[in-house]
Amino acid sequence: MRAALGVVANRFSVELEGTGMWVFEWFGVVSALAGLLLVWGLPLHRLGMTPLVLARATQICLAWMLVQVAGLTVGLVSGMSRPGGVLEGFGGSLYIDSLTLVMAALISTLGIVVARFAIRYLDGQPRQAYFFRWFAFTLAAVLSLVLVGDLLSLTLAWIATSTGLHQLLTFHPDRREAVIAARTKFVISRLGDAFLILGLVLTYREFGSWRYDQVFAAVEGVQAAGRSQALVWIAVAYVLGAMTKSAQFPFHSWLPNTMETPTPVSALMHAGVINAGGFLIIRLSPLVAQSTLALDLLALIGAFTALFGALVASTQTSVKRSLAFSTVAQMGFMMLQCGLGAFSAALLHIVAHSAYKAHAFLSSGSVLEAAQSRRVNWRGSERWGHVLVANLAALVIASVMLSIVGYSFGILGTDKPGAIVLSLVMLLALTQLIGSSLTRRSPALVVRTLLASCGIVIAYAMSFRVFDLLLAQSVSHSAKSLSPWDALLVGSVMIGFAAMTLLSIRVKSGHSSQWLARLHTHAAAGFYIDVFWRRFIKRLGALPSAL
Amino acid sequence: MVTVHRPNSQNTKVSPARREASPSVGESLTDLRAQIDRVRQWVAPLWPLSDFVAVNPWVGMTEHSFLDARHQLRRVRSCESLPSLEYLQRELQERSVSRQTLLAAWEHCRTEVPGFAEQLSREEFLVRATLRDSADADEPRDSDRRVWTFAELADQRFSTDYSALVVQEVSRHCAGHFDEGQATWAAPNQSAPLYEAWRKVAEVDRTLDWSGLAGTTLLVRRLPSDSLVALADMLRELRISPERQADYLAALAFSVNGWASFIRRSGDVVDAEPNDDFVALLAMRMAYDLAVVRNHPGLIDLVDTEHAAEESTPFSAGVLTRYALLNALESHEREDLLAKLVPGASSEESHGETDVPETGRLMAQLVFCIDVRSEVLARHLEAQSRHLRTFGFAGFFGLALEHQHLGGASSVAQCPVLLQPSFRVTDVVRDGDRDSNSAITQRNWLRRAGNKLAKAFQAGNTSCFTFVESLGLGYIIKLVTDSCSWTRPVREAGASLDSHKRDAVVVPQLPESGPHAISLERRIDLAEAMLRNLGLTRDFARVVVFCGHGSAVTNNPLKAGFDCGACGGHSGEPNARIAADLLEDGAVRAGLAERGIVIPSDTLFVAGLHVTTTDEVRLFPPRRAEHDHGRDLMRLNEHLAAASAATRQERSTRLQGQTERDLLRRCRDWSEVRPEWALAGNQAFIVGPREATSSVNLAGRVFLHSYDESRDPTGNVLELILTAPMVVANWINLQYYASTVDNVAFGSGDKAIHNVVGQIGILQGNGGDLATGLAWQSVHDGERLQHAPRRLSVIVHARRSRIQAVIEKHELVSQLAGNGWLTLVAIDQGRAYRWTAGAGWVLEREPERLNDSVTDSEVQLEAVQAEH
Repeated sequence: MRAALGVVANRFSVELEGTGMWVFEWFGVVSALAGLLLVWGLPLHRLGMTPLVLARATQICLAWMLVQVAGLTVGLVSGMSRPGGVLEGFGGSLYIDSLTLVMAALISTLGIVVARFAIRYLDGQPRQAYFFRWFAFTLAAVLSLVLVGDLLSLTLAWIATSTGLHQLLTFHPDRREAVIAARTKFVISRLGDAFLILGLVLTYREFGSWRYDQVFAAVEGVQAAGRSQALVWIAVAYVLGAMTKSAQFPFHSWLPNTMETPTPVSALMHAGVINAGGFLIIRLSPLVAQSTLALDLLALIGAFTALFGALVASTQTSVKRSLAFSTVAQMGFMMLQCGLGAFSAALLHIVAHSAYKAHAFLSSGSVLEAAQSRRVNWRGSERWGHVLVANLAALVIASVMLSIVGYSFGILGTDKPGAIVLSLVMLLALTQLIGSSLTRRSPALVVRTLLASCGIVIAYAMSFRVFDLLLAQSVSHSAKSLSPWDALLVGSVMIGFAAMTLLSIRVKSGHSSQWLARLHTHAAAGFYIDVFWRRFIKRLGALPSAL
Repeated sequence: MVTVHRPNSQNTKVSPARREASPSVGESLTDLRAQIDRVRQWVAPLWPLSDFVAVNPWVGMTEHSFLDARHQLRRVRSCESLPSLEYLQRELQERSVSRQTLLAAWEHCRTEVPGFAEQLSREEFLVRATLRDSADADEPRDSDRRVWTFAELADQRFSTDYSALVVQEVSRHCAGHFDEGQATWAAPNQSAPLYEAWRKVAEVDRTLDWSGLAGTTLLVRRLPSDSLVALADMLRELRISPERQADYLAALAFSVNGWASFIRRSGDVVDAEPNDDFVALLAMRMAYDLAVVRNHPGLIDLVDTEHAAEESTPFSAGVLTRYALLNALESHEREDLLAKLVPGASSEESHGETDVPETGRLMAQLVFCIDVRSEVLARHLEAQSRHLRTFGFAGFFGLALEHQHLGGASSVAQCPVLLQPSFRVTDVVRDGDRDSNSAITQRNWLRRAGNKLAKAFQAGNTSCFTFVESLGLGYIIKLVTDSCSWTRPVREAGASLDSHKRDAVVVPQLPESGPHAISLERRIDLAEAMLRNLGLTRDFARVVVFCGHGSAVTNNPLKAGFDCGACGGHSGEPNARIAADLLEDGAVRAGLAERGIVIPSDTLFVAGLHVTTTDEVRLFPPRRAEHDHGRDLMRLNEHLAAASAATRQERSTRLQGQTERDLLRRCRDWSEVRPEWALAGNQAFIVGPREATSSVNLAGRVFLHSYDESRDPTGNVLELILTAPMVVANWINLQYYASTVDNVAFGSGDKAIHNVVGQIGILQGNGGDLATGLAWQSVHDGERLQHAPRRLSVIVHARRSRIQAVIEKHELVSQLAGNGWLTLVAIDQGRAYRWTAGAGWVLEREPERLNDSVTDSEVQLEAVQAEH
């Protein structure tokens, strides 16, 4: 199988070091990370420091990190530094490009918000100081993960992240469920570590280096030397590693079971930590994009996870579990985008989803109030025939709207990777939205919905353009040409999404049948994936004895 | 897995129809139903989150004494209903409880608990009361358990994990069945009865089959279609003898207590005819127990041996000590309270006319809810001016109404949960014509419909991906603004109008025409009942305020717990506004005058709302502006503002050095888990004229209900108070008590891992049973308890004979007071008498703590200790 693919710019071979400015910035970034580690490591709480002090210290470190990100961004924009530059010093290296900066800014911002939230939310908890210490540790690990300049450091940060998370998941060590969930996560994480280490070893064998810049620069050479088979295995190892971290089917099972931990941890996890897998793929896109197998695997598993997660999420009855399965679905979609080569769209998805999901978790106490604000006597028909006609009409309207707005913002160009699939998903979404307004016999509602739909398309187009520009130089933009196999893949993914939409329209209009009822039962049980993981964990002997 | 069928299980294949035909079986089913009904009584009802109100967790056990109920419950459920010895000892010391009080408590328990003195001698009690590191520490929560579910037995025997597993499964099915819209794809057969819906799901669901309980789906498939018959069949296969059935059923019910409570309420209260959901729940739970037994057939014999070993244990000395200490603490605090109350109201002649100051007419009379939070505000308000007088009355003001917001989809019951609303009130645009009303209604509908579509877009199976990519980035801004409390996670209902404008424009109104119209006669009845029960039939001030209360919290699913319990867990605003409107109606006043209640024409009735989180009081714009009330209202507003500030000041000291500003922050902060202390600390219910309490600082721990014996010749008002508001106060008190004493069984645990399920209830963490009661954060501030667990002391300013008549007429009252669920004290002729079931009215000990210094008693106790 040949990877069809663009060329990685030789910009990655440029190594910047030693100028005064770099040293300054190196210290800036590293001091922020060191600060977080101090919050974790110093026995401040034993010195009579209140948890509040730990929280404030964490926030200050993160704010300081944001200042560094801003400084580096100015450097990048003004051309004083080059993207893909490596900050080196004292044996460690940092890789600075727009991907790094976007991720670091995202994590720091979320960290500040979540720390602020946990001050009051965990007030009076005996383990509040414990929480803030491991919170700082986990943030330091995730930040390092996106900042470091070589695969070895990345792997270490990767492992540190799951270690920190493990401590946060056992916030209530006396709750048996919490311990079981944490151990499931532990086992899956170690599996992910194994894949990553495998990739690490293979990479070193092939490239003789772990530095991104050196690896990326050498990719073309290896490819040319006819050793693309090795690249395939390396890419697949990283893809599998990413799948465990980003909760892809069937490794998603740990995620919905982490509700035993306080809401701020959920917010941090669903919004920050879980992105590590996606980040890894985007960061290594010059490498991963060399392997069609890896990309197809990503697309297939991603699409399946997206549909699986969305289906299960729609049957969950508790707010946090719905949110968790929705995260699984969103991570799947993000991986699908990666698999289709739409790496900048994937990053947009990561950032937008993180913000949304962090907010959704932190505001999960408002679910009742929100439900009351939309309690309404629906007018209109639920008859299947009417619903179908309305949705067909909506399909036409949405197509026209998407064509006009999409073309004028240039997001529909077929030159963009994966554009077909992503446009289809958008089309289906708008169809559903407009379709459900059409049956309500309220012209005012239809007009508003149409305006909102236009707004959604425009917002999407703008967000997408911004991220495309942002990542112009940081990710692989190799346009994928469709092989017959790819066409089949893309085709089935599209059919999957269309079928899911139809199902959702049918269910929403209140129809039921025996097979739908059965599907609901299995979906509500998460298709028993968790049951099998528990048995597996039990067989490993990792289940806690009665507490 | 080998499925073992016991010989008698062959019989279970007999068709239900044939079984019903046989009279003896029919009889046994009737017996079984009676057993189930008994179990159902033991389970306390649980209201959904939007109407969450306090419930006495022992509400069905009041026919037993407090200790008996504890013992009975603990036979079938792992729980505790007494504070720990360590806590009690610490309290004794901190509150300097005297030796006399201890001895009096011992004496009291001796008369109350049979066999008390034999178990616990006076000397031993005194030793145990003070001995630290006592060898026999508190008994574990399950030390009295005699009856276990088979899942629990298997877990103990084989270290399996079945209990958690089957509870999780029952909970999942119930959540799906009762979900009110969390799942965008609702469970099938939601409208079918629970048993039928569950069977359809459980026939297909493989979770248990693949988790070690092989054959569960098969078992469910073979269950009879009638839940009661199914129960009878399963009981037979489990070899539960008829005399053990009730206990076993109770153990099953309590293993899923949250859902049992939820179903108990939906079956008993909401539906006209009680449904069989409770039976269904037991059948579900028992089917899973049967699955456990079929996989571990040896378990049945295990039960038989245990049953043989069973015997009734008397209360241990440790338990009796704790009970007596609780009594001692309660009577110590009651003595304090009585000492403040009794000397002031020297005799009953003082009741009545003294409320009019020498200058003549009062400026304003304000009616607050009996809620303990009103006491603080009322006290500070009366301190502002002698011309202000407050009343305490159930916060729904006797108006059992349901209220519908403008453009809202449904109405909300605004009355105590045990009443059914008797009329409906809808919001209308004041002085608006039909057009402006329908315009606002339409706007509201559009906004709600828009919200609904937006939610569907956000949560749709495929649209969720587009939602994130198009609108997700906006949440970065929302995160920041919500964090800084500039915005709320969800816009407040009706936020399009600012609050002042809304108050003036949108008013709740009694329907004067149409199908829900309320006749003038009925209005006059309502108004008369309200004023007579309140004891306000003459001496009207120039302004009379009906002041409801509500909370202002953000991002808190338990908001209803902070709102007015008398209004069904909602804000009391509609009731207050309707009450004021009723009495502003000229025709109603004329009718009242005919019935002997003459309201001066210059008396203005105004509605108000006490926001308990911030302690602000908002007066709603009055209907008319005659007689120059503007000045009165302005002055009243000034007084209210001053009283609010003073109340906040007092409350902030309770929140440990927090500033007043911090208090205001709490209601807007989305991360706040303790926006206010709500009713934490409640310990007494005082029924009497305000003069008897107005000079006393009751520290926000007392429910105040106005009562004037001289205006209640028939005793009807007293009867009403002791059967309705007192019971509500008792429920609230015991909910706080139970959540404090055993938060695992009766509370809802750590708020930080709460997970709202089905928009009706709370799960903890990953799932498990539905949570009942209060979160730990609601009674504990991280360092110490904010609610001192005490049973309610009810203090009534009335003649003993009067109260006695109510006790004799109402079994519930005599049970509550006689079985130790509360203490009933009468203040009669300036002396306090306590009612006991055995001895009737007993004079409460005169406070004599001054002569009996604490250190003295400590020394004595230590001496006794040394002797041992």
